[in-house]
Amino acid sequence: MHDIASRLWRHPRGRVGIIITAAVIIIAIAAPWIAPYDPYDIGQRGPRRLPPGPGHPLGTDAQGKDILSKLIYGARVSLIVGITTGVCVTVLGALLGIVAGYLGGFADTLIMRTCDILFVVPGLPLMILLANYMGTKFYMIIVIFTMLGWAGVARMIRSQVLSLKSRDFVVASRSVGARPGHIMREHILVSVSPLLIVNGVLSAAGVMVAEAGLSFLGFGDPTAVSWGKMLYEAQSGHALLFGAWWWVIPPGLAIFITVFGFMMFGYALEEVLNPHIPRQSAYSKLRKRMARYAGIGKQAGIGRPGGGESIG
Amino acid sequence: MSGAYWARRLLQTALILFIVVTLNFFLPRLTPGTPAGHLYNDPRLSPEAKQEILAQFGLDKPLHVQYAVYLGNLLRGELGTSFSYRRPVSEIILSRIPWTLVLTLSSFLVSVALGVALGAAAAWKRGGHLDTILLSASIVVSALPSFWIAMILTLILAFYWPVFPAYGMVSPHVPVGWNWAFIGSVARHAFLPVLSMCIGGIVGYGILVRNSMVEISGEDFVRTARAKGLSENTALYRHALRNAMLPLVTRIGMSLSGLVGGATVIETIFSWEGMGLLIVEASRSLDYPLMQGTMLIMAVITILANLCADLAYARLDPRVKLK
Amino acid sequence: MDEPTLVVEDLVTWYLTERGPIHAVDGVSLAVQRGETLALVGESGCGKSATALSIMRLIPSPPGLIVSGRVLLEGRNLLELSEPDMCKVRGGDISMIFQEPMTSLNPVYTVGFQVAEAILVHHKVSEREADKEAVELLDRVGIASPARRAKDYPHQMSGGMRQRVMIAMALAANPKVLIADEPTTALDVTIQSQILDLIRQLQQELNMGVLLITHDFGIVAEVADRVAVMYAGQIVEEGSTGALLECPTHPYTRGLISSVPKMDDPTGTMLYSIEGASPNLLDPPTGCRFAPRCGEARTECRECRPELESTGDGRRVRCLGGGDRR
Repeated sequence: MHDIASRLWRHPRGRVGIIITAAVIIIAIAAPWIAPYDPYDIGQRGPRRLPPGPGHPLGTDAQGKDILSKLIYGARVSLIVGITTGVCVTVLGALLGIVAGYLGGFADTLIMRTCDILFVVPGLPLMILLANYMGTKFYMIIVIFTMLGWAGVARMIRSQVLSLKSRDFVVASRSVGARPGHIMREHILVSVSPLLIVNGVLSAAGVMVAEAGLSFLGFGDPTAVSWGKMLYEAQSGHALLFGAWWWVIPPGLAIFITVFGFMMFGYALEEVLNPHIPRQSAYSKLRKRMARYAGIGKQAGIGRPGGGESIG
Repeated sequence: MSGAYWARRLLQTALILFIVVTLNFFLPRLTPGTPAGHLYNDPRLSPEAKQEILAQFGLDKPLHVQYAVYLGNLLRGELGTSFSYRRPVSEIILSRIPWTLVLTLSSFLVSVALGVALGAAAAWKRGGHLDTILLSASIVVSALPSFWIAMILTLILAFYWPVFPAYGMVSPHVPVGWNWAFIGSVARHAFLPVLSMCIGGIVGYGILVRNSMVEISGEDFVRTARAKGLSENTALYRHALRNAMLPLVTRIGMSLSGLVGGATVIETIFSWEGMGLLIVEASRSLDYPLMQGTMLIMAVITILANLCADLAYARLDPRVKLK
Repeated sequence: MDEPTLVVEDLVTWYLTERGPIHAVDGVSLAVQRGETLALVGESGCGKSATALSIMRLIPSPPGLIVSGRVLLEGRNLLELSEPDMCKVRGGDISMIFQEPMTSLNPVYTVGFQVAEAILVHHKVSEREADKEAVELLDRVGIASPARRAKDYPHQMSGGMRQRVMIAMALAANPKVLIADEPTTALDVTIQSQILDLIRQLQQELNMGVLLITHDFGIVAEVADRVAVMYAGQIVEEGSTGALLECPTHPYTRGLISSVPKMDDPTGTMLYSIEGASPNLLDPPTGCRFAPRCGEARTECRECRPELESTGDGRRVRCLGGGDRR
């Protein structure tokens, strides 16, 4: 565990990911102490539609709430929804994927056909519909995202399980009489867990974008302060017609930076947990070497040797 | 393509369609705060009036009868009457479909065309400037919500430097019809929405084509093509690109539902009166028949588009029919 | 004797890696005459395929790089040709078939198209004529009902059939030299001899020179006129097949030959295998490259680099022991 952490830290993208993710988490936790105002408190509203200036570094919105404070508090919704859903999607997807792959038969057919449907039905309109039926409290949003989001994980885990199932160690433990539950826990879950961890982090990133989209359309939690909702308010307050960039740029950047951080973290985790994936830098090193040796080829009077490349 | 493959694929599609139709019927009736409840649970209504409303929408009958009626209506193209428009849902949807198609089809075509071109060019000069730009853009763009890209583009190209309209589909004074003024005006209005929808697609398809080109250009059959005497260009474009298209078509199939979802946000930003905006409006005004009808038609469109993608794949890859 | 069709002189090819250049081909010289089969034999990784790909200038680059040497086809140095001229040579004067018929054909085009494509590159004919010629070629390589099979995709054919298609493709422009890189390794034993027979028969018909790359002395004995044994990027011994198989002089050749099982060996002695692994070509041994594995190596073998020297009867050997010790 410590080893993985230190390798992540030494990984350039991993370090960026760790720093961003940690920073956002700290901001979210410490929001009440670092935000200049409390956006939930009606008593702390200033003048409306102020451009950035002293007192309100990022200006105020149409109701006089401080944009910077909303931005800081908004990290909470994004992170809670993103991380919780990431975990839920991964757990549900892994469970269903393992069941489908290991048991096969009817369970497999049922789960995989459900995946097919979830893949072809347009997600955002369906979310809007479900949000309408089920309500938009943030835990409902998590339930909706989980219901619609597990298919990708399940399909991936299923194919992993199918290939693992035929591997020697699983066959061996089955032949000595291990029960399916035991095999799934001890062998398959252990083998797919790196994949799951990476997937959880990347799903969290995806969910944060999707949550912002849903809030942006006005179907987020109505009482919460979130980045997507800030953009919704900017849109419905005609920020684009007045050029109120301070309503638009900060929440979007916040979403981008957070999602970017999670993605970097996820990709780095992927490389650290599966050492088989070649690093991008290997190729650039090779290019440098090529440049050094290029002179030799020219001296020998050889045209460009042909062909595609084989180094991944 | 073998008939059996077609038949199986069509049957699959029909099954998915049926399930979607069924879910569309049962979901609102099973979830708390049902549309019907919203309609008649108003305490001011007298029991008689309540009963009348229930009867009017057929909600007084048992569930399976309602379901049969619903299926029958669907087969006749009947999607009910919108609460807010007081017009048949099918009529409203029909008037909106062309507008959504304008956005989705043009942004789809532009992203595929530019994506393939960019990806192939980047793979051609691996490690070159274009390749580096594409690789970094793919990371940045996937973290950017498309609606924010749209807002920033509007801020720049409609507010600070007003070359394109910030919203709407056509200038108010232009007469509707197949004339150049109208088409030009629509094109001008569509530019920003299409551009915002494309960016993600171009980069996404680009990186996909790039990666599969790089992978496939190392395949044995590309070497065979070169050994025949084909130039590197011909070998790559005739032999590698065709194979690199296969993952692209799969991805296109998978991204179709996202395309419709993307249209929903983009249409909202630009007040583009298509299906996406329709479902948002219907949801905001709790117009349940309209909501469900729109959802159903969107689902049907993506399912059919998916079928097309699968059939295209089967045409491109002769191995499919054996599976 | 005629002037050889294909002459390779001092060919040096490197693979550039992060840890330095791998000397995959290190000063290989060989010659193939028309109508003759030269077998290039060695363990995997000894540089046989790299030699063949360098001759075709199909070494993937990067990381491959032809550093020096000459490849003369009827006196013309292929390494100096422009890329378009080289394209005319590939599949025109020199054709090549590969080890893996499974992956060497493009899965999304019919085999007829792929053969016709080879014809179209080298001859100014219409597509219809090319299609017709393709069917004739398929017929010639022994594919039954060629007109129908031409419409098949590679996945609909067996490995042997695909290799026949590869050969048909290689013959499209009546090449002077055919390079066959382990053409039968991926095939069943019964199919192997059919393919080898086909290559031999076509060679006689077309009077081609064949450079056959293999690791299998059984195949060598069956089809080759001459043999060149490669070890660690260099040719260590060369001679006519009969003489070389009869009395191999280089210790490595002897090791290779005695590691081949013999059907008529009544004693049932243990199969011989050469101790150790091929040297690391990033940093080859200073002296003889085989010295670390050679049972007969002396001190000078580890210090001085032996040259490929002629020992009469067209035989050459790279051994400080002169190859006369048995």
